[in-house]
Amino acid sequence: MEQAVLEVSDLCKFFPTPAGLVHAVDHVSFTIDQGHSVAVVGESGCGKTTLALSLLQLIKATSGHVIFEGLDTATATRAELLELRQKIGVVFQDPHSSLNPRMRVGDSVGEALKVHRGMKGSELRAKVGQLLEDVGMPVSAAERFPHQFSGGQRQRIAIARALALDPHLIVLDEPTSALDVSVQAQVLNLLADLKRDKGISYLFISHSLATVEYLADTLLVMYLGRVVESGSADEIFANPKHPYTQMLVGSVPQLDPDMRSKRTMPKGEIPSPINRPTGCPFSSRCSQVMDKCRDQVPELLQVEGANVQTACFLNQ
Amino acid sequence: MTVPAFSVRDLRVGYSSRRGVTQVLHGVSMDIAPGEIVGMVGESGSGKSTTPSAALGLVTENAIVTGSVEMAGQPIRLGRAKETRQDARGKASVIFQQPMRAFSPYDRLDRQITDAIMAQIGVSRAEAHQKALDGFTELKLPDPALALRKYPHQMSGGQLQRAMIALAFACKPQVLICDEPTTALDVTVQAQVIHMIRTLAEERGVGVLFITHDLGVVAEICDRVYVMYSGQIVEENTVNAVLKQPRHRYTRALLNSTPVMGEKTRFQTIPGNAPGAGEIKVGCPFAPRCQATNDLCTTEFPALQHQAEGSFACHNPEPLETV
Repeated sequence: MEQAVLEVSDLCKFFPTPAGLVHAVDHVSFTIDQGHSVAVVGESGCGKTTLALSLLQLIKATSGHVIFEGLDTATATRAELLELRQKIGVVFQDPHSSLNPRMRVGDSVGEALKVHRGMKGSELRAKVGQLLEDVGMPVSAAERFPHQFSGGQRQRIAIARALALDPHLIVLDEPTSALDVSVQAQVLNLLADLKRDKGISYLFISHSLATVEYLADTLLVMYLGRVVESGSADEIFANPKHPYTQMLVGSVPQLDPDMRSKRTMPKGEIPSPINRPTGCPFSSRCSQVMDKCRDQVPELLQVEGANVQTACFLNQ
Repeated sequence: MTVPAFSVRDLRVGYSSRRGVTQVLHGVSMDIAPGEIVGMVGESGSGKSTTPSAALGLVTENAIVTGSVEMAGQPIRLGRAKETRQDARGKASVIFQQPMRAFSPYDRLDRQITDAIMAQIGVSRAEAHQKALDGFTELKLPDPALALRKYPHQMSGGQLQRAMIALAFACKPQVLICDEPTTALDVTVQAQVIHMIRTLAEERGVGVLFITHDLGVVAEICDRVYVMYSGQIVEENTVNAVLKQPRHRYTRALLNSTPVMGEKTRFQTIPGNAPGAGEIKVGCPFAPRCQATNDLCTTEFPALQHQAEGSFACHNPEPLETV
């Protein structure tokens, strides 16, 4: 029986600025089932990191609900939130800045165990050693400092730390963007193994579609705070329905130099979120724009015959 | 034969410190023809950025640079970084990875770009300003005159990188060094920037050295590719040959670990890490991570073998497929 680990409904985060209200996250809804991974993709400024921060309660959402294993975070007590946070692990983009340079690796990885589980001494050392082994690091790494490791090793350490409290969900914010391709491959393989062996769910945020494809079951494509396409990752990659997704997928460089001539150049840039176009947010760059796109906002609706929803009049 | 825009022979770079000299580049040679776009790929620490930095005099005072460099047939002195910079002035431009860091946050773009153009090619401020404006117009920056009045923080990463390209081409260089110019950008903007660099380089006959770790980007823009490992060139060939039929085992390993859209298979990884600079090695530097070593690999250093087309440094190369 599959149970939803995380249910997000109508989540909004607006930032008031002198120039007007910025709709960073605008009515986003999705669910993550146990052992599944959801990937969020989009260009910089589309709200994907704000989405992650607001569902981690690191910033307060303007409205909407985040329900983690049946518990609504908006109405939860402090004690309930404390309990809940132990079930969510986080891995950030840059392992050079997310690990404390003055703490030994073992202390960083074991800190949550000490605080939440009251572990100490040999029990703590054994658990930390096991966590490091799980991510393919030697046990002796615990005694060393972050600067003694390469970028890929540090990202493994960050993953070990996220795993410490046996989380049900790990939020990964661009976990491989700062790494070399050979190391990126190691980290992605590790994440796939952990998902298979421990049944952990992922929320994977990335701008690199090729890495997302490998790990994601469900895909959310965001544009200026709104979800423009969502659904089965395989179906979306095989046959993107929304013109924006088509543009994103079409922009990914292919390894075949003969493909060069067949590409269409993406048009324009993502507009500033302060003056978002009226109507469909993508209307200013869309190659198939119609009159009604400029004054009506398309709703996210199921595409007939596919496991995909899009917010585009072309598919309705 | 035309004179290459950029020609490097046996370039060696070492850094001296109290503990002696750490050699980071072990004899790199390359040629770039005018209008040609040449890729340089490799992992962090392979020396792919050190090569052009040394040739342009952008290395620190304790660097020991030997070898020879020519730009459009003119020799560049390498003994002291200051002389190197003097000789390269007006001949070479550079585009860096992070446009936000390449510009100073304190001055308007106009000031920064005209200053740079004046220093590079010695024109008056009015002329430099006109060149900057022309460049902004050509690179389709919205409202070029207004864009020039802006501070870097008022522009997006993609716009700033285009401003940087405008500056680079305004100096009428023979050689353009692009050091991971699209790594910090979104894929859509990356596609646009790559297209602009290619068009301008071909139009103006500028030789481009394009440094990147992304083989997909190489496939998009480059004519020819050098693969670097541990301070040496290990393979050189046309972009089609390198990506479709690599000979060096390291190139193959890099290709196998690159995520490709439409292929949802498990990645093959390269075991271990690239050797650090200054580690003394016997045999092939890639041997400890290679899956196809023979006895020779651990005892004898493989020299770069020149073939009819391309070259590679491997004792046990991938066999050529006969199609």
